[in-house]
Amino acid sequence: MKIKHLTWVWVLAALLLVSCQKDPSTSGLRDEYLVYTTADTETSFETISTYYIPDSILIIGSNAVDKEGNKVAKYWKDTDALTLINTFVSQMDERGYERVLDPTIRASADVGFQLSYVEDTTYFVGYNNPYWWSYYPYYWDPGYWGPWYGWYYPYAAVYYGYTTGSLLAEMVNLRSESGSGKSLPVIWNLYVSGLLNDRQTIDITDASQAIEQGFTQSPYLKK
Amino acid sequence: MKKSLHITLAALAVLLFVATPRARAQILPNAYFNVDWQMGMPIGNDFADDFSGWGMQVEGGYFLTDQITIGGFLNYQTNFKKLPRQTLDLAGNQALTTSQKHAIFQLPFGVSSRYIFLKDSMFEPYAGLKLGASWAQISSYYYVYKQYTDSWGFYLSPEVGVSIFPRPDMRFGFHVAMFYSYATNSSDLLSYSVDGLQNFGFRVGISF
Repeated sequence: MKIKHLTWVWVLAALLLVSCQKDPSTSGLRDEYLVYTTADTETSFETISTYYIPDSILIIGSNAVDKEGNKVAKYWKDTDALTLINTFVSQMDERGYERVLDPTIRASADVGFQLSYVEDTTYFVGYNNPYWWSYYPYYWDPGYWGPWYGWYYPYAAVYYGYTTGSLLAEMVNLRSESGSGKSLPVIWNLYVSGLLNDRQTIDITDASQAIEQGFTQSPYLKK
Repeated sequence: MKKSLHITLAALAVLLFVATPRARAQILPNAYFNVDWQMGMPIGNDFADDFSGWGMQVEGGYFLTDQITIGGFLNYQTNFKKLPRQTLDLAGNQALTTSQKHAIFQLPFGVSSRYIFLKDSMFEPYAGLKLGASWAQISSYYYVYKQYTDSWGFYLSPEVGVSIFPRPDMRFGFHVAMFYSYATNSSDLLSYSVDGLQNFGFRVGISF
């Protein structure tokens, strides 16, 4: 009888241990968007005067191919995309920066924006790796801006495993040294997630508010 | 799954109670065991200070004399707190706007001792002290992410309680206790700092 009771004690102890830690329900957390920003602490943003922002948003996760079956970059250009781009423009203008409109002289701007929307996360093989884009074909080639041969983040930051329905914005410093072996620094970074609505499409109102929040929580972005 | 485990524990406790009248003795001579449901809340910090019943304890001891025991214990508890969307200023130029759920998980273990006032009576009140190590994890859950940090600390916990034996000769009954604990665990997470973990709580369980 004593042995039998001792067995129960160990069974109880084992059950206690395996049932230890309790996680909270996170279902409600996914209904609200997240805004994360980070920036280079060495950059004086008040010395920036002009910026260039493309008229389209790169779609990450697109399986678009050309006539020969080669993968090609796909861009988002409809009125929704324009709404989001205009939100960036209005926020930059409010902070005293001047937009360069002519794409042929985009490299003359002090900084450039590259906007991306994550439609699918298939390419994100490097979670928690800031250089995930090296796995993604056609991701904002630094050659788009000028004679740079890569780009980099001059700061340590938290890198999230990007999820479907995320919006990414990077501000690159076009005044940095270019040429052989030189990389283009990303001096400001915005990551917004949780933008999918019930129809699993991006909620443009939420996305615009999130972009505005990104600027609000980056008070150093001011001319 | 966690709920089913608690139901299983309750069922085992009932089985143990039903079977015990045939035992006619303690499991081990001059020893006692407690299996308790633990409820409590952290005090002194507001990281995750909602009252919670997500805790349990196991404890056993040996009677050095009729009044004094020495033994060991292990308990755990998780407390939560929900935070509305807010902007956190992080290191460097980082900032994060999100709603969160915070959690503190504590798992102390070590040695315990009791002074028993009325040995072999139906009600055995006691005062006890626990000393040991404390492992803790503080976590922030936001969107689909969990960010956390672990820490170790020294643990100290005074306790008062009573063991209730409907038939004192059987040495099987119930246990009720009230405790305070302090652990030296210290952690930083996002823009939050937790320096020392204090708790106040209750335990209800079985004693044999």
